[in-house]
Amino acid sequence: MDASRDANKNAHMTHSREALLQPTLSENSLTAAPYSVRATLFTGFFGGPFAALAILALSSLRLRRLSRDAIVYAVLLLLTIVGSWALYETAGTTMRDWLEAQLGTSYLRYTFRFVALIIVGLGYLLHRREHRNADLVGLARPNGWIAGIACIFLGILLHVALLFVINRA
Amino acid sequence: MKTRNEIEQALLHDPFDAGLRAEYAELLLAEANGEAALSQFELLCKQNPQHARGHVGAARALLLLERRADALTRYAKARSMPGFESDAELEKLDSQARRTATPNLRVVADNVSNVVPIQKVPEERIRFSSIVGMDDLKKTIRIKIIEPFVNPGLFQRFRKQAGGGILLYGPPGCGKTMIARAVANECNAEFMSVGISDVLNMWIGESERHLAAIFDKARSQAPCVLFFDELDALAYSRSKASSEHTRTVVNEFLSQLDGVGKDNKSLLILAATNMPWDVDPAMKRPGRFSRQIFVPPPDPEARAKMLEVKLTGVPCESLDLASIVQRTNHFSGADIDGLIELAKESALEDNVLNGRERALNQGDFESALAIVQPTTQEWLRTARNLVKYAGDDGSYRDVEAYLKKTKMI
Amino acid sequence: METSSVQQVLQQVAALLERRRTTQARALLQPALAAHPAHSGLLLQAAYVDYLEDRIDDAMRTVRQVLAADPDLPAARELYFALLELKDQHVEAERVIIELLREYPERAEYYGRYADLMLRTLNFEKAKQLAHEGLKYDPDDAVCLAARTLCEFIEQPAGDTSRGLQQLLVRHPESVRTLVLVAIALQQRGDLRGARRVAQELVRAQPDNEGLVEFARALTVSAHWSMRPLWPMQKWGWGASFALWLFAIIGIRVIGQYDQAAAGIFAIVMLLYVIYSWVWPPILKRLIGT
Repeated sequence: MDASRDANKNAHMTHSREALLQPTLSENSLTAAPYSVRATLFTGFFGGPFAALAILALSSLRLRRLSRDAIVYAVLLLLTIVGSWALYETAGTTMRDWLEAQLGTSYLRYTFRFVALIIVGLGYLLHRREHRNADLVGLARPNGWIAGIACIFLGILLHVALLFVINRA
Repeated sequence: MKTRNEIEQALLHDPFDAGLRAEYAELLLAEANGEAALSQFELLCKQNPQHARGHVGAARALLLLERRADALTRYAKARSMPGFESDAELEKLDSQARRTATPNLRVVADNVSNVVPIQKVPEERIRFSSIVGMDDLKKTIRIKIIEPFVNPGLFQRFRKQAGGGILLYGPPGCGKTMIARAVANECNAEFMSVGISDVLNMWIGESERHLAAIFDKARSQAPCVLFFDELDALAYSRSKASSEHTRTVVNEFLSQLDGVGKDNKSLLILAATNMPWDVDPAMKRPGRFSRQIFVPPPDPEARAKMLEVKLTGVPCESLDLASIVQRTNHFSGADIDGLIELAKESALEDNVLNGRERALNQGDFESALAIVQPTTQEWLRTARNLVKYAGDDGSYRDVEAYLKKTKMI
Repeated sequence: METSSVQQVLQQVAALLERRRTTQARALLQPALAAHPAHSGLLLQAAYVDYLEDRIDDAMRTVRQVLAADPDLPAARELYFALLELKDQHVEAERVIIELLREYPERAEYYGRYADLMLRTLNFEKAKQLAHEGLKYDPDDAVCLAARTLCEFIEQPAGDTSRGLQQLLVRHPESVRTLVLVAIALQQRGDLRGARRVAQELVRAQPDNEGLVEFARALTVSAHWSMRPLWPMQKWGWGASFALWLFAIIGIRVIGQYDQAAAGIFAIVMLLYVIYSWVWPPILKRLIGT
């Protein structure tokens, strides 16, 4: 009984060791460090929720996990669109009045910025391990300027398009 | 009584708590984990080198590892330190050990002929007067090194012992070796030099034996100045060493410096190094190379004198030495030599090409200055890192003063 | 040159390289290589000299020459692996280390180095498994322990203790790797002064190591008394910045409901704090660096 248990254990160990010795890296599938938290934060801060989602998606692409993260981004996108619709629709008047009372005339800007930063925070939690890994081993982060500016433009465009659709509806 | 896990966690929070570390080391010793206990006691000694606790603990750990000779050496050293508490087992071993016998690493007197021959320096008669400039340094060395050796009676009345170890450190080419030779001549003592080539020979076999023989030979020719050039090569920091052989050589060196069972009183041990940070820290503790003297690049006055002396007899037009001195900041003596040689080459080349003889002129020095860079820069940059970012434990105050004086910090 | 002389040269060069005396090592190797230009051991030492002097391409060329003549030499393959990593040729580096592991399955250090490679390519799970596997063969292996510690730092919040680090402190208390990890642990815990003290020890031991000096410089900046007002950002990072932004907005609104002037002052104070948090750290870094 003990001998067969030991044999099973050895077989399992050999199998798991063998699995470890299979190559993981290939030229087409090398992961790269995600955009820095600073770049993501600024993109979200200035570009809004859509910009935040865009740059997070780019980070997922670099990490070769877009397919895994896509569902989360889809849910956040849906929530953003639905939330925006609810805010802008006539039924959202009470909410708008309350926000204006609390935050002043710039309430919409603050609200969308807040939502964007929440999305950035959720994105960080999603990629937290990768960020810590990259920081601890000193991996160079990609330059966030170009991607950030592009995402900000995209975010603003999408936001305007959404407003246009909402107003037309 | 804390558990091992608790102590380890606490140490993680405060790695510099000596009491906690001592407790941890005792725990490891009680678990008969000699190697780990020794590492912890060594760390304790590093943190608190003047207290006997770490040294006695290390001796007990060495005894556990059956390194009796090293244990005794360590124990002997701890006796004179504050906080010394005797250990029964070590006391028993100490009383049983034959004081005049040598452990198996040491050479018995009649085997001395087998050693790697050390350089017996010919009578060059370099004295302090041969060394240009460095007046402050020469004065320090005369008071701290030469006079105690030459007039031991005077210093004994003030309870100061002669001999001991002195480490000269500084950038390359600034005269450390020359100063060591001058010290020997000023002391009217035999001079024995162990250089890098001797060390290289030691590395290919029986290093400890040869090292012990060197010391025995120096003792037999007392009073003697024993000079180790490039000390970092021989006494490389054990925490950085990857080979066990390096560590045993350092251990033997430390034993010899401590002179257990031997008389090192009439031995003046000098050493020089360009890399004091690579020398094992135990080497710099009291009783070993406890005095460390920084040998800086020559100051402007010294450089001016050097240029005057080295250009004596060389055909020169009128030279603006002050300007050359000003532009040779941080130049070592060797760099000044290099500068002069390059200037000479420039003049000679001109002589040969133009077929007419002319003297060395300012232009030759200008062209040489455009090429020659001081070789001390890298060392000084590293020293600056030490001064700025390694905390202030007082080891490199002289370096800091020099860097401030020359506006490098 | 006789074989025994070659052996002597190899021993002496190894001792010189241990002490990072590359110039003297090169001087010893040159005549030996002139006499034995195809000697694998001498060529490998020459490659090490180039590697230590950061002449990576030269080292790569020489080590390939050694492997062409002697493809099974483990030391050459280890150096080749290190060079490939330095040149970011990770795919080829992985192939080399897997081959080494297949031939020497009980060399814990190889698992550790493979784990390092996986961490560098952000394959965290595999890195963790490799470190764990290596420690089965040698629980004291420094490279595996360091990889395990890094994995624990990545996974665990800052306050938790790393078992890997505890083991390193017991087994390899004076190693540079251990001290760097201790400094990182202290830094993550918010004990910047403690981290700086450890970094100072590291610089004392290796003042010519630019990486360590830069690390110590960064900690000197972070632990400076004038950076104390920034401790929330130092401790909680961007989360603290977000909280600060919220606090500022809410504060301005709430105070504004009672006193507009006070709200204005509050807004100015917050703005000044933000400017100070942006402007002062780089200035301090420059001041400390010069």
